[in-house]
Amino acid sequence: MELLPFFEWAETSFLGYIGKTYGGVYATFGQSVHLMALAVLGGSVLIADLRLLNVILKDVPSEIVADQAHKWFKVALAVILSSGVFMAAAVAQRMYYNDFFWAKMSALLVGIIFVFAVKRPLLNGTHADIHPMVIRLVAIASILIWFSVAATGRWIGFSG
Amino acid sequence: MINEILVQFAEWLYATGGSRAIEESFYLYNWIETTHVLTIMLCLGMLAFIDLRMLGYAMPDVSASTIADRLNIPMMIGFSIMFITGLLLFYAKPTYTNQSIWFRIKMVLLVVAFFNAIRFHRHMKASESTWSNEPRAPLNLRVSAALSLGLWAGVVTTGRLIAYDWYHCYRDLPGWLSAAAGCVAE
Amino acid sequence: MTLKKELGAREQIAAVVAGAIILSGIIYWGYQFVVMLEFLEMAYG
Repeated sequence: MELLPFFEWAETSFLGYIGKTYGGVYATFGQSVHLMALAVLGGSVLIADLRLLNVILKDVPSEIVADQAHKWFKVALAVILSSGVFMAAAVAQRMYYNDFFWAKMSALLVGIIFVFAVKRPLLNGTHADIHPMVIRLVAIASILIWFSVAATGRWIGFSG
Repeated sequence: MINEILVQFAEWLYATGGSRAIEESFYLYNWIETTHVLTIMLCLGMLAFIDLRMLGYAMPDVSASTIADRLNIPMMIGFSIMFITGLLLFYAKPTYTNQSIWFRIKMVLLVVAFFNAIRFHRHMKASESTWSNEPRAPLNLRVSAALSLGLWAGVVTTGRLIAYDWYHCYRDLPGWLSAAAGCVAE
Repeated sequence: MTLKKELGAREQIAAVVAGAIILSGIIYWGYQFVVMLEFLEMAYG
């Protein structure tokens, strides 16, 4: 499947036009909102996973922490995806040729599938019924994948 | 007067070996910047959950003081990392950053956020036993929590905007903006 | 009993996927690290 035409189209779309033409809108509604959503998304990931690893909030049931963190994870994900699409549209053709963009998209896809198809179904019940080693693996993988999404994302800007 | 002193200080800092080494290195500046940005997840992530708990939007079933106490440590670890990397970023580009209006607004917002945090902490410690298990904190603490979220959103926004030179001294700026950005006569 | 069996399957899937993510992460970042070392070698000798 050839994706380049899609990226070329994205840059000429309304979103792409706004982001390209108005630097201030791009920087605030794109980049700054993206970073604020990153704070909440990263915070929800760290709170849930560090709790599962018994590092923080040890006196609060991990079921409550994981559920509440997931609630805000979903909100942050929606905001970060929207602002991300907006930013990518403005520089779509540059993104197409950027290795870190594709690394980030791959990690993002894996991260989303991991959260909704693996992590949530696993953590739905009582956590005491889950083998502690599995919980630890899942928590470490979760921190690693979202760190990778964020770090490769930052590196897109350096490798432009 | 103050702007002249700041410019002199920034120029002196710029001329030091360490400052040149960071800005001119291939990776060091980018690493420090990436660390600064990614630590947002730890520092502001924890802060957001503390504030959201006070407002009643996160973990309403868990005691508010427990959340604030337990998340304070990772938040402060994150803040320390951001503070150190932030100093290094300024050290690497002191002349540019000093005359960035966004950087200056960011510093003001940080000072206001600091006093807001102190006020919040004092009020919380004085009264937490009476409301800690309620889903929402009392009004004055909710105001502080909302203010904290707003101020930090401003810090993030202005921090990101430092990268843009729309209002830098070499642009055609109105007098008040030129003074606020720290521009001095050549 | 069935619930326990179901959890067992979920645990297995979770362990395999998490393990694969951790392994891929180590390989990816390890590779990036090597690339960076080679670049620094080229730049500074």
